[in-house]
Amino acid sequence: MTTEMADTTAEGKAQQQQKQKQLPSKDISSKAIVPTSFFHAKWTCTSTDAVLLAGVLLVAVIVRCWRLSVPNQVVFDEVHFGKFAGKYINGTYFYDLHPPLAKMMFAAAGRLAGYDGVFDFKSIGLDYAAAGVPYVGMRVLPAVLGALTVPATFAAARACGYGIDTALLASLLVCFENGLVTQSRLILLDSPLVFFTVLTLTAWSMFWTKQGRPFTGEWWLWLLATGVMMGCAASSKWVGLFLFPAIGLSTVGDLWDKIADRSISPTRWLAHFMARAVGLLAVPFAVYVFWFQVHFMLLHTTGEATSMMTPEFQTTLRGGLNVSTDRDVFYGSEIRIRSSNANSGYLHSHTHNWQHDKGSGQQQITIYGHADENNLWIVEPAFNTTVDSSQGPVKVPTGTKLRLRHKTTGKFLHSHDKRPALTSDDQKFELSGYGFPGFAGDTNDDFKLEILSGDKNQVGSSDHVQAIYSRFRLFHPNLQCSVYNSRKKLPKWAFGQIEANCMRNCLPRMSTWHVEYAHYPNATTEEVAKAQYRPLSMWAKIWEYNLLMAESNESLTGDHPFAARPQHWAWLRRGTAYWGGRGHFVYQLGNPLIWWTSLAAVVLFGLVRVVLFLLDKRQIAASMGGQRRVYLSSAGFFVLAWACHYVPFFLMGRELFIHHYFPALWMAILVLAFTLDMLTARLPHVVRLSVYVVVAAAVLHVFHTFSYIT
Amino acid sequence: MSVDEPQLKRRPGKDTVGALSPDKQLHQDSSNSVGAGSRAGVSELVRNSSSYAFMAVVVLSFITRYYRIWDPAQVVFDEVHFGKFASYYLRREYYFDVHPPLAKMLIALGGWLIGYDGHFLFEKIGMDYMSNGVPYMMLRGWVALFGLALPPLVYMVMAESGYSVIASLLAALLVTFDNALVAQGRLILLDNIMIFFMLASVYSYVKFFKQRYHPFGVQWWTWLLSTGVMLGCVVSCKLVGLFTIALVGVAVIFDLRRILDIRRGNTMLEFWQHFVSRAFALIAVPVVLYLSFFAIHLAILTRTGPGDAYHTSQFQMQLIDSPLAKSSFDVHYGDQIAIRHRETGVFVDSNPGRYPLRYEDQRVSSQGQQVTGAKDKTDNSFWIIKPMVDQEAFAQFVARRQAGEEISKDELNKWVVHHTDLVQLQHAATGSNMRTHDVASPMTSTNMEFTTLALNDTAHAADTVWKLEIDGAKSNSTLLKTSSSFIRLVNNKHGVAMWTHPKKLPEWGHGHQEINGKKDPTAKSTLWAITEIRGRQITAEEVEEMAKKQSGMSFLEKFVELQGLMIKHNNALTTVHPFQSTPLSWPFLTRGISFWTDAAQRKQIYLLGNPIGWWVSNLALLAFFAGLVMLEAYGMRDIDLVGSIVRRHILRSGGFIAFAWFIHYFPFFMMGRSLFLHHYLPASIFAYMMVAACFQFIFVHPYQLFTLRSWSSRARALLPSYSTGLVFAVLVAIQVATFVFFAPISYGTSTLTAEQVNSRRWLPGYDLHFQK
Repeated sequence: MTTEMADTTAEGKAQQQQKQKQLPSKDISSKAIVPTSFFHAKWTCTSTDAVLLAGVLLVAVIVRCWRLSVPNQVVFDEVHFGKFAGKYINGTYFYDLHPPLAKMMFAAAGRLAGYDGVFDFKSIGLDYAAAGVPYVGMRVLPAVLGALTVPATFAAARACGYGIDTALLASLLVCFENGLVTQSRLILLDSPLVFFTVLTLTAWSMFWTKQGRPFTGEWWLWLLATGVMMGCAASSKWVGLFLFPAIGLSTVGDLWDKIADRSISPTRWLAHFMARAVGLLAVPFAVYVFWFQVHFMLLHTTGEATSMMTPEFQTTLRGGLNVSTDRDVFYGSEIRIRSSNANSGYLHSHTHNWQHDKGSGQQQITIYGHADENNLWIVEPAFNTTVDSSQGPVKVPTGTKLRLRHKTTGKFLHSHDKRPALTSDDQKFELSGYGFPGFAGDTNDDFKLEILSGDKNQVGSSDHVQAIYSRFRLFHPNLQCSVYNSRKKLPKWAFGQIEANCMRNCLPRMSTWHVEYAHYPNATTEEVAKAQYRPLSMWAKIWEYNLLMAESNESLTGDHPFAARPQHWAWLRRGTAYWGGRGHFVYQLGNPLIWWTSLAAVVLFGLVRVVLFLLDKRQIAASMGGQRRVYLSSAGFFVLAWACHYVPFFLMGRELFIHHYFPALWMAILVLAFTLDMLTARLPHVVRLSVYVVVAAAVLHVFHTFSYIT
Repeated sequence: MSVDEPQLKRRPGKDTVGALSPDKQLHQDSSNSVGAGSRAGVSELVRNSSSYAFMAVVVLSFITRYYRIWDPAQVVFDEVHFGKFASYYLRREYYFDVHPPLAKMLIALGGWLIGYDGHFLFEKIGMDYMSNGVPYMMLRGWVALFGLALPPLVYMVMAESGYSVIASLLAALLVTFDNALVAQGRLILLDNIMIFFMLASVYSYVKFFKQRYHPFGVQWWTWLLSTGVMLGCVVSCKLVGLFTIALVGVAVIFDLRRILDIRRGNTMLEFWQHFVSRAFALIAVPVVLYLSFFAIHLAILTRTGPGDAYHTSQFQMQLIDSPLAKSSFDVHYGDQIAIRHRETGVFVDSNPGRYPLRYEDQRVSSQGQQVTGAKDKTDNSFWIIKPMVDQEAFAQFVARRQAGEEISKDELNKWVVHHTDLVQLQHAATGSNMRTHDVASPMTSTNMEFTTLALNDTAHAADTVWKLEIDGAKSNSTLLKTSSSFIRLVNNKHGVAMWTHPKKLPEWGHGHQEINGKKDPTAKSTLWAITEIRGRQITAEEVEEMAKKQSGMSFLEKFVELQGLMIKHNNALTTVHPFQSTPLSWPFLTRGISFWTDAAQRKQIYLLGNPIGWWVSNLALLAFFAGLVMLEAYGMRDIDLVGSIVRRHILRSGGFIAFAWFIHYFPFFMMGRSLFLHHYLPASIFAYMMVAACFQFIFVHPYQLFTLRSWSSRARALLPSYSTGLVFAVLVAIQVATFVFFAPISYGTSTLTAEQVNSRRWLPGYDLHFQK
């Protein structure tokens, strides 16, 4: 019999004496003392609370809006997000690796403040005042959002069951955190992100205060508010997605506990389950999709980033791609062949030869983004075969060998046992243009055209090649390789075009091609069937855009001088220089006192948890000043949320910055406040208050010291 | 044989015996209730069925693994690597590989035993063994021994875990007839050996766990230590073995939690005894073993070989006949040196060309002389190294040297270069000093531009003084040597270090790399080496001297260096291989790996699991997880669906197998390196065990009658019902049929027509060769 997973015999012993029907796998002792999920506090906002909420809001607004106009130049990533706001106002399409909500909010703020979208935020340090940009108006948005997080913190702490003193302390810690202040004074995405994250968790805490009265109006209100805010957070930056595991795990734990609750009938349990599925999955998803829909509605006109999208996507933009071509491809047709899965362009050749060492020196074959004469190829039968076109043009069936003659130079597309320009991988071969007048060619000119998929609405598109509808690969039977788009740029002697080679055993992703333009020169009839790209549906557009985002996120591996790895964030090894000029500068650095103590609080929680586990096993009671339940459940949840917002970054290879830590920092600050509460719970009231005052004063002092660079 | 109904509803532990172990219950209950009567009614055949089943597994395993093991007589897939490494061991030449050494040493051991001398280097897939005189058949036969052992081990693990003869047999037969394990199991590859130790660890741990009511007894210690030894071996084969350690580690934590519980009546002292003995056996023993295997590895590989270049110069100097040792000289002031970048291999070059006044992005340069990184060493790559002290004496020394005067060794030794010396570097061809200054470099605006300064410009001379730091040097007396020292040149005034990166300068820079001053001088990428002193050749007496004073490096230092390199290179294995795959696709078996092809005879070896077997395993895993959740959810409401014995077995043994599958599979999702289907093989074995476990949970009742005490013990009964036997027969028959169907591409022994190839292309991803 194998191992673990549940302790048995001892329970057996204990249970036999105590409970007849107790199940062997249940650990009663730990169950009773440690609640697995969030604490069920009951808090309703009193007038004192209301006054304090207004008070901290006022302080926060002052702290965040103080001299908002300085610096009056473009700072750090305002370069990007200012520019994107302009694009929204002008309606020109752009691409960015972040979801759209936060950027649209800046666009709205800019619109209200009177920004006309002309100024282009080209580089850090450009002057706003001279260009007449209403940048203060745009910066008010993040400042206000940042200020609102402070009363939200207060509410979250109260909802978790803490007193006014602890809640006030937590909100002051958030208010005087230099990093959060810097971030919310500039046109950057993190302020909206942190705002929505904080609001999600505040709403979630409020939801838990309504646990006693499920399915009431307020219960639904806070559940849906959580969902909406979570959707907004994810629509601001993908970091918001980390809320899902945090909230999801606490939900699963709670639902699991509810199974044991005999007052809940199975139907009722199902209702609980469904309500959460709707509120915490369906609603955020709908919100995410909604903001994307708004995004695509605003960006209706083609712009410089259009070429990154697939042709089907481009046709949905005003002034975008508008292709209409003959549908059928015949022997003798002129065709333009496009790489189907990457938007790098058309199979291309020109009167320049390969110049790499291991190559043949024959004519280059590349991939080139623009449609020109050099992309035209003529379909011809395979070497030593003929096709009888006297009875009218002959369609090209799948699986036949054929040759492609380059129209302007007359050479055939050719491959042979030579290494391509950019790799010496022995799975890859060079493609070249080969042939000369009087030379019949050879079998290395033959490619087998194999249709991988046709369009199901176009009859015959998987049997015979049809422009746009048939997706095929070009297989070289002699070398057993397929024409492949390597997506790598060739050197200057090939004009920086994209490399095409012939690869063995390649996956279809980068070796799928289609015909985008076909024309049969000797057409006898006027009426020919046409082919067009089918514009994408909303879902397909959102899907494509998100895939592209995922890809660019992965490939973001630059060498930014201020990039920082996650292991250095939590203890604030260094910050990020945002802007510098004439003796003043903005250096994004947190309040070290808060960063270090909040990290210590998180670590302490882990230790307390382990020690309590050991004590419980030995049945030694530890009540922790009566705060045990509240501390373990509330700090437990926020430590979980902190871990969800921090640990995944370790697995990311992309370039990371310290501002990625901000959502986690907020959670750690709450844990810090809860920890202080727990540590001082047994002290006399006066001592406890003075500890709080000392902490607040110290934080304020450090804030002041660093505020010159904030 | 029919089901004994009364067994089913019995509650556990109603006997007066208090702390009755679940497995004891399994057996005692049955012996009490079924009693002597039923035992007498059981035939000898049934009583010995476990032994027969075990022997059948051994025989079938032998047949599947050794069937025409001499075919193909060519190098297949990664035999390229592991065959080669075996040869290196036999030649005692140093090589570098990302995997720990045990499995490779075992392969080499086989080679050594059969008298193979390591003359063949397995350079390319498809090379012929016969004509090269390689005893490949014996080598394969040796490695296949480990493959042969896998199905019997699976049988043993299952039987020890309390499964019936029939369920254990099912697991073992599924594993016997898995195409991937067979294809992998008969070639010179590491996975067999690794999986063998993995299963041996699991077996030992199960045996150990069964001793938990006799703690600190002889048996208890034997199996605990055996677990530790096997874990040490598995992790010394491949770092994937860490997952097995994690598996046992988690199991031990759960076990310790049980011991800690005060209701068990253990004192804290007893708890610590348990804790310390496990820590010793399962942490200290594997660590010591791991280190020992490396010590053996390094003790065998004493000669210079292809692995030299991966290592630091100090390491290389330890190897016999190291070419590096032969080119390592002291550098003296006044020498003309060529400086080469460690990471990108370019030489520091300067030429009369100037930086253009304005770059494309409108930034301005100093228009100074270019200092760039060139791929080739030319006359422009030499720099004269000059001291900052004793300038007059130095001038005399240089003058005398140039005049061709004989300079005594002692005098020459005065001019050696030390760690942290302040130096100037004068470009030999143009006669100006290397300089950096506060001008942004052409392509990296955050770094400082490198240029040169005429000798007569004393106003900016401070820009030309460099602090020479030797990497790893501990005292200022460390000497600068060619080839073997890595250095940093940190500007004494600005504190930036000479640095380059693979970005090429535009046309005006002749396509050289940009060199500039990096503000973080501690970066690895700021390391350079002096590859050559112009005109310096090694003399015969120096060769002798060098052989004598190879500076010693302790084993631990060597180990740390080697281990660091292994991890670094393992993570850097990101080059795209055409047959790599993503972990998500593995259980669904959407694509295999082409191991070997023979175009003339239309034969191929294509690594592919048994598709049906793998899909059935997925179903079993799914069923198990769903069943577990349901069982627990009902349990929350005190509803017992299956009876406590079955329930406990599902939780404990089923949970263990499921977790073993999980821990050998999910970590791959977090790995950035290129991954292959064969990384799933360890997990696939646990998935097969899950099939058998589900089979038992669902079809074998009452439990007590069928569970085995040990794999070699006598069985009480064989088949609960004929329908159960039918399920067993159907599962095995399908597995065998599928195995036989795919066998031609697993063994590579028979010629296939295009039609036959295509009929085996069950999924579009099976990119078999010779489809047409």
